Amino acid sequence: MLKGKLVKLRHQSFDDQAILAGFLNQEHVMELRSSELPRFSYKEDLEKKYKERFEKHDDNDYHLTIETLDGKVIGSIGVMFVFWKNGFAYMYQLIGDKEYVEGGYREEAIELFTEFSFLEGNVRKLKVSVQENDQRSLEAFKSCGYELEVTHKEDVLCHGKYLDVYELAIFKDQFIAKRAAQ
Amino acid sequence: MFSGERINLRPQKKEDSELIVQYQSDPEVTDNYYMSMSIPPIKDFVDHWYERSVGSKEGFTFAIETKEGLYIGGCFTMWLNWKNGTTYLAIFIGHPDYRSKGYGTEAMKLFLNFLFNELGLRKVKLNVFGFNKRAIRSYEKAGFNLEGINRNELYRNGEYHDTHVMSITRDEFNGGECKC
Repeated sequence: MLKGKLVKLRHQSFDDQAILAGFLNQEHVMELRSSELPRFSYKEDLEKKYKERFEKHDDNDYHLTIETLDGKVIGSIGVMFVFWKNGFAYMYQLIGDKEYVEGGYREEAIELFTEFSFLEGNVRKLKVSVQENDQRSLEAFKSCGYELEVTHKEDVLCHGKYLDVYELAIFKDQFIAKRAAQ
Repeated sequence: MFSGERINLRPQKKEDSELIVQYQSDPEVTDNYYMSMSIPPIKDFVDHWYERSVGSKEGFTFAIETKEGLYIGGCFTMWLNWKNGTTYLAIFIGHPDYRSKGYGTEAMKLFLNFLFNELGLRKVKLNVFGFNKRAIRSYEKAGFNLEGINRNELYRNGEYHDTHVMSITRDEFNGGECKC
């Protein structure tokens, strides 16, 4: 288990899927996922995908649950896809429980996950996409050392307006050097 | 079929497979084109790709042919997103005699005209390897602008290389000099 001062990261479980479906159906989460059609998530669908992943058991994606130190599930973090040949991985994070969107929970989860992916997963580069209206995530990734690489201008439609999407990335060497400097 | 001055865009045919394998066995094509390992495809793979694309609602694939009917390359959409009106595209001129002579640019303009003015897309994007200066120049000529650079994104020939993300909007295309 990956443990910080505020959060723990652990393997996602079957029982988490119902909680995650609830998180994904909230307006404050849906409006940050405008690359997709704004469809509701169903626990049965997430449970089915969870079982498929469980049976497939490959190393091309991994999904962890973010919970508080007393075991309350507040979000999810993981890698959707690893491109082993080029050494990079696309990650995502979600703080679904509105009470925890501020207070450093997100920042700590990102830091723990980034460290895990580099030091255990041997990923060389982690990439993430963040929408313009998700300033909290943008600041959280930057505070962990992620740097802006691409601005997809007016790329996704949200509440009638086209928003920019930022691609950020961090390299293993960069992360380790930052750690050493601290 | 969509006609230009020197080339046409037409549906891909199964008979194109042999030329696709031949063209994509040229390192000049594979090294500049494949994000995955630069290994020439086999015909089974190309046939499978063709069968998947036939009748697909997920994207559009066109063959690029000369007015004499010679297949010289192809272009297709990737990650077409109807909701946001965006798509990525890829294009290649495989026949060595038709590279660096404006055929790719003409095909690109025809393809963009189709994507913007027939499909109604709003924005088209592409990824190009940083070392492929000829392609970057050609895309700039077609009106694409740089959106950013993914640093050390591609591992090729023992080194990491940057990849560039470029885009063009419908307004830029229709208002620019590249309008068909």
